[in-house]
Amino acid sequence: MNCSKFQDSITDYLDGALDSRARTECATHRLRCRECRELYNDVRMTVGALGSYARLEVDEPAELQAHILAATTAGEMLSCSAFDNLLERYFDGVILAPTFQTFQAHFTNCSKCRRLLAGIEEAIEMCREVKDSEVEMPDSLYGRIVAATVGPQPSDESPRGRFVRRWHAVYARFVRPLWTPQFAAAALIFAASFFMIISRFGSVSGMASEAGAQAERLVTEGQDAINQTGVMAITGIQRVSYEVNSILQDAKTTKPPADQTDPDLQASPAPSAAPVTSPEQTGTDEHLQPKPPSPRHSSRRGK
Amino acid sequence: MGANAALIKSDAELVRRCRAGDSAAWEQVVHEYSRRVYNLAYRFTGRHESAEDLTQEVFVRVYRSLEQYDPQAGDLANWLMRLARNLVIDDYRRRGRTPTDVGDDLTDHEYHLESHLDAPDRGVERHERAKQVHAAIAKLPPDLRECVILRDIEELTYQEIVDILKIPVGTVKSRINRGRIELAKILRRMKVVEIM
Repeated sequence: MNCSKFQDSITDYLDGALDSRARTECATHRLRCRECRELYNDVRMTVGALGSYARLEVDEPAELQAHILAATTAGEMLSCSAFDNLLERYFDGVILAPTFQTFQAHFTNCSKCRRLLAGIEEAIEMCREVKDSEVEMPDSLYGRIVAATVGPQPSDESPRGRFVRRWHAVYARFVRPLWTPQFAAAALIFAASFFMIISRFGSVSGMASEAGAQAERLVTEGQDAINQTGVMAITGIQRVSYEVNSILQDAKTTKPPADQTDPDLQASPAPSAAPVTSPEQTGTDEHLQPKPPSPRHSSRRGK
Repeated sequence: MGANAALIKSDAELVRRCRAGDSAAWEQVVHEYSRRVYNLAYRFTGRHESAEDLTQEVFVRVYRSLEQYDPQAGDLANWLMRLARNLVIDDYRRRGRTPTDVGDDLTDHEYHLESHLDAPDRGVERHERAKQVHAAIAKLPPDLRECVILRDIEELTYQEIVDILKIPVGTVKSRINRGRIELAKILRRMKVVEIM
C-alpha cells in the first residue's frame, strides 16, 4: 500500500469500516511510514476535536429571540386555512379583540389572504347593489307560480299571460317534439318550396295577390254567368205567362181544339194543367191566374 | 415567553396551537430551538451577524411551513433542524461558499459547554481549542467544509448528507476524508493538534 492509498483510506480506517485485509495493509503502512503515521494521528485528534467542538455551543445574541418574534408576528403564524375559518366571523363582526389583532396582522402580511378578503368584500358589495336594483317580473310568472302551486286561475290571469301559458303548453306538447332530425329535413323541404315561390312570384305577397286576382276573376265570371242565366229564365217565364193568358182569354170565347195548343204551352207545366182543371177549380184558382198583360207589357210584346 | 406559561409537551399540540395563531406556543418553539439553529448557522457562516440573520430567516420559513409538519412522521426537533440545515446550506451555496474570515469574530464570543462536569481549567482549555477549530474549519475549501461540518459536528449519517447535498455517497465519503486530512494539516500549522 502506498501513501496515497493509505490517505484515501484514513477515514474508513478510523471508523473501522475496512475489511480485515485492508485494515492489516493500513496498519502495516502506518507502522512503516512515519509521515502517514503522523497524519493518521493528526486526523484522529482532529476528529476528536470536532466532536468536542460540536458539544460546545456559542451563546445566541440576547436580542435574537426578540428579533425572530418580531419578524414572525402572530398574524404571520396564523395559517391561511385558520384565516379562512375566521373570515365568516370577521364579516359577521363577532370576532374577539385578540383574535382580531392576529387576523389583521395576518391580513397585513399575507398578500394571498389580502386578495381573498378584497374579493369577498367586492362580492358582498355587488350583492348589495343587486338587492337595491330590482328588475321587472315577467307578466307570465305570476300565473305560472299560481298554476304551479294552487292550480290555474284563469279569471285572475291577464290575456297575455293566458296566451303565453297556452303557448308554453302547445310548445311543450307539439313544437318541442318537432325538434328532431326529421324536422330538420322537413324544414329543408319547406325552405326549398319557399325559395321556388320566391323565384316564381318575386315574393310571397306577390303570390298571394296573384291568387287573389285569380279568385276575383273567377267570382266575377261566375256572377256574370248566373245573371245571364237568370235574365234568360225570367224572360222565358214572362213569355210563357203571356202566352198562357192569351190562350185562356181565347178559351173563354171559343173552345179551341186540343191539337191547336201552342207548342210553347205544352212545354210549360202550368198551362198544361189548365185544360184538365174543373170549372170549380178554375173559378177557385182564378185569382191565381196571371192577369192580363198590362198595357206596358203588351206594348213591350208589340215591339 | 412568560415564566409562568405552562410548557406544551406534545409537538402535535404545540404546532396545532401555533397554526391557530397562539403566540405563546410560537414563543416556546423559538425559545427551544433558536440556540441550536443559531449555532448551526454560525458554523456555516462563521460570523455572528450573518448567523443571526440566517437564524431569523430560518424561523420565518419554519412557521410558514408549519402546516407541512406531520407529527406522525417524527419529532418537531428533527423536522425543524432538517429544514434549518437545508436552508443554511442553501444560503451557504447561494453566497458562493465564500470563505469567512473569523479572526476578529472569534475574540468576541463565548463558547459554552453543554456538560458542566469538566474542571474549570479543562473548560478554559476546551474553550480555547474550540475557537481554534472554528477558525480552522473556516479555512477549509467550501466543498470539504460543508461535508465535515455535517458529518463531524452535526453528526449526520452519510445518507442524510447525500439527501441534503444531493451528491453521490462516494463523493460524500471522499470529501469527508479529504476534509479531515486538510483540517488536521491546518490545525497542525496552528499548533492546535499538538496541544490536544
